[in-house]
Amino acid sequence: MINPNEPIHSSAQVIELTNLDAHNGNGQHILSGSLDALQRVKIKLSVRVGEVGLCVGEMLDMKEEQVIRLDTLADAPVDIMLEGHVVARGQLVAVDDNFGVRITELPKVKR
Amino acid sequence: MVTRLISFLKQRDIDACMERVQIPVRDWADAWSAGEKPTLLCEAATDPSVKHSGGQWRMRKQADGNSLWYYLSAHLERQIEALLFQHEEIAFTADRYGKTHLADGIAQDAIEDLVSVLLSNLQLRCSSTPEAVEPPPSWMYASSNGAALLCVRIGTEVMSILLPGTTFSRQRPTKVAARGGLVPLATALEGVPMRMMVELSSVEMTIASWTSLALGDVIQLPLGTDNALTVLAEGDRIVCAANLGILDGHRAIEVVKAITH
Repeated sequence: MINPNEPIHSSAQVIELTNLDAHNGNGQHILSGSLDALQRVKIKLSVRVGEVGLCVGEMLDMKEEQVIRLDTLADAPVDIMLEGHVVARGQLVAVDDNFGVRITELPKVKR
Repeated sequence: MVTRLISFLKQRDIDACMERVQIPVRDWADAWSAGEKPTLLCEAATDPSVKHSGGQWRMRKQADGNSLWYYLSAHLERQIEALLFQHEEIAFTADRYGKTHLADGIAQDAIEDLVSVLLSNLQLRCSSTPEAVEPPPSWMYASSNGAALLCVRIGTEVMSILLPGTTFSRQRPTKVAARGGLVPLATALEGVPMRMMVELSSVEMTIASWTSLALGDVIQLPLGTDNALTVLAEGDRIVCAANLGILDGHRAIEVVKAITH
């Protein structure tokens, strides 16, 4: 039995790694687009409730307590954004004392 | 600025001349920190002995082979030095001749730069440095010649350029568009359209959690219903915090405070 706390120095050798040429690969995709291997990757989703078009001048003139009407209707679903893309939509709800979103639209899953 | 209409110079010639040089001269003054802004005068070229005595006439060759003269009053360099460096400093660093080589050189550069600025804006292509120090010939002042003097008064001193009549005959057909001052960036951007996004909150989850979501599921957000949300400009730059509400059937925000970065 080898005790890892007592390394055997006598048999240690320097490893020389093979030089590799840069290559994009031309074989089959190893994950085939599946996210299975990435299940633990964390993503950051943001919830966008609306937006408004305005001019830079109006933006620079904004004041505290000013009320600005957004282009979005009051009952429109909110967008759930991932890296600038809308990946789902939902209804704005309250969960206890917090905001929440009830999912109403999800992208169709590719089979 | 004072202009005076004279018999053989049309007002439009004077206007065109002044229009071409006013802003460049102001820019020159700003660049050389000459303090008080120079004043300009365009007038008929008459016998120079009254106004132009004791100074120095310099001559430059024009591209068309003609010559052009400009007059520097005796103390113009000193005047510019004083404006650039303040009198006290000049006195402190002065040698027994009452000037320094450094200040002298800078004042000369400023003067030649001013001449070049004026000639360039009058569309007179000339040599960049004086080719001779000599007064203009007397025939330049004949009333039939149509020549004019463009005078720049800097402090108490004057620099004049003797403009041949051909200057105006060449420029007459074209009306020079007025040049406005430079516009600050914020002003220029005022009308540029942009979008402002209102973000409620963000939440982090694993891909596994996300892919397991189904319609009807609820994601709880880490933002209290009584908290302000975030307003972003394009490029996801946070602009301010705001409360969410409704106005005229649309969602609306009430700006709470700016968020500085």
